[in-house]
Amino acid sequence: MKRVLIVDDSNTARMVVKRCLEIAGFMDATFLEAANGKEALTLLKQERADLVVTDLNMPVMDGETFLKWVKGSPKTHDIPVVMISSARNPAKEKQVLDMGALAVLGKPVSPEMLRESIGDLVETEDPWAQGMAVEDEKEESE
Amino acid sequence: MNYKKNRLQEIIASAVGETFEEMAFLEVCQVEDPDELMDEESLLRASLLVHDPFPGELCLVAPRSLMADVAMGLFSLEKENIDDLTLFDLLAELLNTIAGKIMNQITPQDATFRLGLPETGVESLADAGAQTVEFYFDGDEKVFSVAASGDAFIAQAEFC
Repeated sequence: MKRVLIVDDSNTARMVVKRCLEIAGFMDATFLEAANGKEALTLLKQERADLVVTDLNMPVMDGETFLKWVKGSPKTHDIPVVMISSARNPAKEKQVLDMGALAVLGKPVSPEMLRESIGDLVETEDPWAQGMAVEDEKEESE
Repeated sequence: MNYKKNRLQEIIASAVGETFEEMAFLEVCQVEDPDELMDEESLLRASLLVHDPFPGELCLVAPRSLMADVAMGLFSLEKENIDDLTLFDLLAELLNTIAGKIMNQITPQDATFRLGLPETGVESLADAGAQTVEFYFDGDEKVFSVAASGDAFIAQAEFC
């Protein structure tokens, strides 16, 4: 079962992202929530996450600083991180992508946008798709 | 109404409509004469400053009952379990998203824009002398408004 950490200072924004992830294929995932980068780092010290979806513009610790810490730690650097922002800054977007972010999405996110950026993770979450993959493998080996 | 206001109205109406539909699953439409519909409700207010590249302010003012209806659907809560914190957080996030959509429309494609954090339950943050335009919308038979102020911000609509 996938574990997804959603980081945003708005409870509403976290709920919207959670709903979109569920529709995008993470229906059975366990969702962890944090209100800023600092809280999220504390959570990641105790909990495993397979995916992080974080806002860029947050008080206390913003998304960019949080990403820097995640990608700088051997324990967390492999976790895919999707950044979300209501502002637009091509230079900053390039910077966070260079720092290792998987994608930068504009608000409000949609299931389609998430599916496009985290398609590989969603596919392994879909039991129907997994079942089909097993069937395909069986046919190939026969 | 001049071209400038028409264009700004078109941009704001589009941003408001998309945001409410995508986040609140609510269809909204613009209304011209809202006076009788807005005065009986207790209104909640959120404001947000646009820092760059065109300084200005955006405000969202909505009836408590409309935000409560949206919160009930979004959070799957009973009405009596919805507190003010939830309502203001919802209002602020709606405004934040509306502002992002508006700025995406009026800012050149490769340019940077920067927004402040939304503030709720406050009076206008912008210069009181600045030009202001206000538009009204109806969602589920409840009227709410979105206002934009700031000379540079409003003027930008003429050129986008």
